[in-house]
Amino acid sequence: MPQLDEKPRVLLEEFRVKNAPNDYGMADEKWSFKKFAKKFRIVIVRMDNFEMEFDLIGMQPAFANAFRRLMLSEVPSMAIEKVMIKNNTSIIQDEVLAHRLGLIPLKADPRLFEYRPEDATEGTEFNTLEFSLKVKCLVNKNQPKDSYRAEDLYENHSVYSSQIKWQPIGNQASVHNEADICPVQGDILISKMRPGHELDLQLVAVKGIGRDHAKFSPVATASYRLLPEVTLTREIKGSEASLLQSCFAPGVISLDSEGKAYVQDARYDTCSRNVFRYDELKDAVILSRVRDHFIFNVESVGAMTPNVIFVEAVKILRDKCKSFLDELNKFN
Amino acid sequence: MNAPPTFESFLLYDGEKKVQKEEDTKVTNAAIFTVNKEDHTLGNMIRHQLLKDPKVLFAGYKVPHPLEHKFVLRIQTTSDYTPQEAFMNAITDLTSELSLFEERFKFSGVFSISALHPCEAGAGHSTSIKKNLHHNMPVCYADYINNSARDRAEIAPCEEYRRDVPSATMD
Repeated sequence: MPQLDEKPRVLLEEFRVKNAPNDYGMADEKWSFKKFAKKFRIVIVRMDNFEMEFDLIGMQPAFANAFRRLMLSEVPSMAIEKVMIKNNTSIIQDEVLAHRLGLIPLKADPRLFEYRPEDATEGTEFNTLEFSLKVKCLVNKNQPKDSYRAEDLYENHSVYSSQIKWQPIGNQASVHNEADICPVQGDILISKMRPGHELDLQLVAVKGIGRDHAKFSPVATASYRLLPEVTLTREIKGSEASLLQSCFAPGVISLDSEGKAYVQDARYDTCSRNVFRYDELKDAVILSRVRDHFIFNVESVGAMTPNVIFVEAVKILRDKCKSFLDELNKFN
Repeated sequence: MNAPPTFESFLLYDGEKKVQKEEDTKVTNAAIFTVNKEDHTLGNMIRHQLLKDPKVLFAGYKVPHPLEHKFVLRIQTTSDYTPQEAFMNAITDLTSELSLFEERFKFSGVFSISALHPCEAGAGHSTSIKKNLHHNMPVCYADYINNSARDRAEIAPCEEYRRDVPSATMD
């Protein structure tokens, strides 16, 4: 059996999950900043405006979970909170419509705004965004002959999020760019109408956090998993090798020119433990996960890029710690 | 409707304190801290950090009721130390850890491992990644993917390349 190095691991066995024998549990170690700084690493694996995959290595699970929770429910974002309905003759009810509108992600950067005080009746230009949605459905005068599609028969048959218009208050028009204050996607269907139906709405968006309502969450998903590892304990060749290959996600096991199996990249393995179904392969593989290697996946809703969301989460946590220290100092 | 206001979960009431301290009357060097408007996010993290302190004999937290937005943290320490000191040290340690997080995250390079995705993966990928990296970036990134059991200590600490990296900040 090949000697595994000293990384902390959980072993995925056929019927149980067990800590590696030399792993006495990370919780017992004495903490020192130097030690932490030495082994801690961040690797950004993939990133674009909406999605990011990054690795946090050499970290406590409590931290990983705290960051996940913070990104989901404590990093702020802007969302429609109040809908003033001047006219709604469509078949969708006022409250359902208001709820739908609330869930539309807005592109506005929450860092440029303040929280609106709970007792404020009027919003200011620093804490409120106002939008209007005014749509009326009519019969299309120049509809093509022999078409029965609703899109051809009626004007404004479908109401989309792109029809929401921003109404700057105060100095907002000069501070913000119109292209930055709008729904992230313009093709979100809000309602369908028929001739005579009309919507005339005033929308008020404020800054909030996901703990209040999920619509304020800046991420679609934020999750982490541990790095999988696959170790082969003996040589596997020929038909056995291709059977082994089929037990894992594509790309995990490869065959070399002699038909010998080797582990190419276990990162995207599903850890299905399929290999334990075959008695001849059971003894050939050690499946494990590295306990201090967290692979984070953050999918942004669109207002902030995922890297910004993570940095914001770190800042929020640090601010909380600071306010804690101040509170504790008061006891002395 | 009798639904509690949604802001109840994160706004302190008038006169409500963020942290309350209560000495444990039965055990010496023990205290119970009640932290209002916080949840498992901080509770679990602080408890974890406290357990790493050898002078802390006991640290545990609970959220007494899911509808009450608070957690209760009990700390017992050795006689030459107080629970409050332990709490404060834990938080100071956490803050320093967080600063490191932020710093390392801002200076960590981005590279694509799309070439590494299972469907497209080919042999010898680690070298191709190294080539794609900005030449100032440390070459440590590819190592872990290769599953080579290389020692982490071998990787350059971030101080060494920080000044070379162009201001690729995330803000």
